[in-house]
Amino acid sequence: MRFGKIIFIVLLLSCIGISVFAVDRFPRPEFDSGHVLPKITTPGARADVMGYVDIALLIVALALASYLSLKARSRRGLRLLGIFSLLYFGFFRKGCICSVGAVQNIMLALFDSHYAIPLGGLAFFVLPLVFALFFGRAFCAGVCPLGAIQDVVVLKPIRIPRPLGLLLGTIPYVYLGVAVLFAATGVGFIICRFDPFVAFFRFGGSFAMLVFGGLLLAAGIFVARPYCRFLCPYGVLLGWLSRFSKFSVTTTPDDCIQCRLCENACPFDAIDEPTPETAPEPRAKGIRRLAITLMVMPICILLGGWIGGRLNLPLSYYDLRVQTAARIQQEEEGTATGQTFETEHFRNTGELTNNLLRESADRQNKLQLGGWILGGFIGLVFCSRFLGLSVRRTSKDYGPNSATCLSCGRCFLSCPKEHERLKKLRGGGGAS
Amino acid sequence: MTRDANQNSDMHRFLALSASGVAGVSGLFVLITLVLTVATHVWLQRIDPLNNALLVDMQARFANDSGNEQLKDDIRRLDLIVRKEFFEGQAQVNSGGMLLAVGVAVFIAALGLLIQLRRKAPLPGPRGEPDAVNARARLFTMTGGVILLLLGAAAVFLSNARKVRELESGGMVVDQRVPYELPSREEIFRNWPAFRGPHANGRAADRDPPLYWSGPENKGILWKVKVPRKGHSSPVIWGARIFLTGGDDEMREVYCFSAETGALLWTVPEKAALTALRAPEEAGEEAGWAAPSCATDGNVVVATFGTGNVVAMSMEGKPLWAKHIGIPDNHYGHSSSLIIYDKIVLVQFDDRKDPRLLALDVQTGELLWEEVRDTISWSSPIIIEHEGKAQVVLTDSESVAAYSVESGEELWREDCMSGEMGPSAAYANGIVFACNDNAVAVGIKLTTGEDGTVGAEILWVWEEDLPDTASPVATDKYVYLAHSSGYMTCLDVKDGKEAWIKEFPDGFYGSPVLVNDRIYALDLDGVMQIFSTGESFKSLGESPLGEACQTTPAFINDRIYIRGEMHLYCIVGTK
Repeated sequence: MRFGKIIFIVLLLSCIGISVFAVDRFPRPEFDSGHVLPKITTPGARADVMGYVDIALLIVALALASYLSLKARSRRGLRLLGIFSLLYFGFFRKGCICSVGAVQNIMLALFDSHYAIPLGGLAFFVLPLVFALFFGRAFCAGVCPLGAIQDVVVLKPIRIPRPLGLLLGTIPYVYLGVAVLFAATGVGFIICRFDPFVAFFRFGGSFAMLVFGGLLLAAGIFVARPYCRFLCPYGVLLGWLSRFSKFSVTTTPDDCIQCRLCENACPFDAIDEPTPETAPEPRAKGIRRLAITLMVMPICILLGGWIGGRLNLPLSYYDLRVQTAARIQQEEEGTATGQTFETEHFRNTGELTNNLLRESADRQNKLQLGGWILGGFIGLVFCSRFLGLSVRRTSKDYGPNSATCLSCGRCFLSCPKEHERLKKLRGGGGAS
Repeated sequence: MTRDANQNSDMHRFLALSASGVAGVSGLFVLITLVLTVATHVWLQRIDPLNNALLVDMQARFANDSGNEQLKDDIRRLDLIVRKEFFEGQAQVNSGGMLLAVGVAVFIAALGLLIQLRRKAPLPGPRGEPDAVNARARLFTMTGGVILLLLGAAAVFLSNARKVRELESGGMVVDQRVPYELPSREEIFRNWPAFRGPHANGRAADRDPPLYWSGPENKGILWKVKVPRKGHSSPVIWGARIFLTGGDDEMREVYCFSAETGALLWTVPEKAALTALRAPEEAGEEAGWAAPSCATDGNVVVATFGTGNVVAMSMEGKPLWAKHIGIPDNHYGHSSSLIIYDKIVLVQFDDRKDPRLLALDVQTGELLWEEVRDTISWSSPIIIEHEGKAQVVLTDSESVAAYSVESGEELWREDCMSGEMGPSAAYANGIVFACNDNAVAVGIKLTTGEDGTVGAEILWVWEEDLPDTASPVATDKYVYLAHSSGYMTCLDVKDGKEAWIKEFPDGFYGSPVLVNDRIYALDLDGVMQIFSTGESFKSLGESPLGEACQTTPAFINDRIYIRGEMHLYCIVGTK
């Protein structure tokens, strides 16, 4: 299996090289000699039925991932499923539509009555969440192509300090908030734009995104699935729902014998330890901290909202139309001389200047309200994280954290009880 | 057993050694390849083979010395060299990418094998101290939150992003307003404020223009001046000032000439009132850049061009405001002239993409109303006053329609036209006349319902010898149609019956004008055909300009102002 994995890495990384070919910087020359350039052709539209095939395969893959992680407890099966998903949803479907980005389609559909969300977009957003509610993060286990491509390169995972991991774990919340805000206001789909692996799936992309994706994969050798843990906005939603999942992955198929062998098996630091028997900090100190946190929380939310609301102008510049509008305004007012490529192009379209300015001003106003909500949300996230760390929870056994566990099944074989179960399945004798 | 163990151990050591060696070599290879590939990529981003300094210099020299074959060959050779250099660099990056991928794959494979061989049996580590970890995590979280807040605050205060707001009056540059005085009806009809005169109807009264002159012999010509840039726009006159437009790919301009001497009083370039608005790549071949005529009301002069820009200036040539209403999507070029009525500038912007009628405030350029239209046309709006209310009447490739000047509301519409509509409408005595080549000529009687609703009904239809460019002109009894092939047709306004047809040697693009009881029709060769209104054709004169002409003349007092292909003429005539 290790050999197969290595071969796969070779194939995968060759994509980096191939994608470098897709560079074309010059307009095609016109030849006086009569040489006729070949016609540029565009591929035809994809057959509608393939959209249903995608949805059907997604359902099958989610069901299979749930079965393999909960019932069969097969790491090998999950790995094979991951490779299939990588090949189909990644390379064949070229990473689109993916569930991670579908959240933006949903938000745009909710806030823009002119946008009709395709059935595929809706299904790819909803189905993994429904499965998370019942079976944990089966989607992350072997269906997500972004997760699968990173899973392949996990060779020498190291554990990063838990406090740092928890801090980095807040980034997806910020990313989700910004992505939702941008999608809802029509500014853009940043999750798609900054998808680090789509350039590999499509055998082409910007140099910067190739480097970003390459660096993430290189980091992924040591820090397992960094995008999933420290960037993925969809993971936030999956984590929320999987907290309430009816069935969750367990390390041991039986009672935990507290052997602690599973501790290092999880490269994602998703195994919760049992509460130690050492004396906790004085109760009064804990209560005081909790009270202060609760009191400070509204202030943090308001402060975050206040700053977020004022970030509307810099945030709006992510939208090229707003940038163009601002520049045109300067040109019209005489505070900028000459015109840029964008303003020149805009004027050549014949669109009325005030239409652009009105639309841009409207977008900035929406971003102001949205910025308040985003800032407040981020304040809430940090306070909630602080609050969560201030509350002492009691657990007796080692086991996967239902929110952060990616259901990859790496911990199964670290448990002696699992070996016992497998022996029984093979008919190899009784308990040790 | 011991021998097996030793053999396994040897094999293990050999594999580990090999793997570490391969990992080391491939790692070094990856590093070197990476540096070279990135360096080449960065270099490629910085060079521009199309604008190589030496090449550009040589091309500039060749432009002044186009017969220099040696220089031509040198340019070709250098061009090949710089292109080759660039594409070879690109090939190096591609090869580097491939080598990098292979190197990385080998490195990871070797590393993976090494890790596998050196993997030790898992052992539980020391027990953690969750409370201490949580305390550190709280500190990290708090610090992270504070840093994020500070970053957000810094972005707010350091960003130079600016608030976008709508520009006053729809994207124009506002200068100081000029003192404004609404012109009286008498003033309007005494002057020539638009294409085809007052209300753009082709009728002029209380003037006594000459019958005879000769441009080639310089007889009856008071003055003749060259117009700086070409254009098909016709002269518009207020008081002692004549306004014209001209333009080419380089520049579009508004000119003001002295009606007395022909001196060019001022020139306002289109750009003067705008801030770097750019023209479309090329004008329509037929219309050119400056086919639409200006309009004035004695306070403001308004002009438009094939660029889709509307510019306004004072009578002294001071830019007042400008507005871009869209680049006309029009295969012959934009040709619809402007008209001003009661402080409203009416713009018939009938293009293929977004046809519409716009009403702009003459003082500010502010969009007062906009009416979406259906189809393209090359005609111009006319104003009619019916039952005390002003209507703007438009013709297009499907219909003749009237709109309220005040609100833009469509008052009536007759779908009776077809083809590419060039002629504008004419009006006389409660009847609107419209025509187009390969379509029909119609007389449309205006009606008023009991509730005061304005309507229209087609009185008659005539289907022969129809104009494709020149607009009709009507008296209370007859309507005159000037054909581009040279036919002049006179129809009875009551029933559309033919009164007479006369064939002239040349065709007509300029529209015929009614002055008192005479029709002045300027043909393409610049010969003015003058005949009396009446039930039969009676020539009153035939005077040559000596220059080809596609415009409509302007009539003030006892003078005629004509724009020829190159010159502007003031005709006073011979006795």
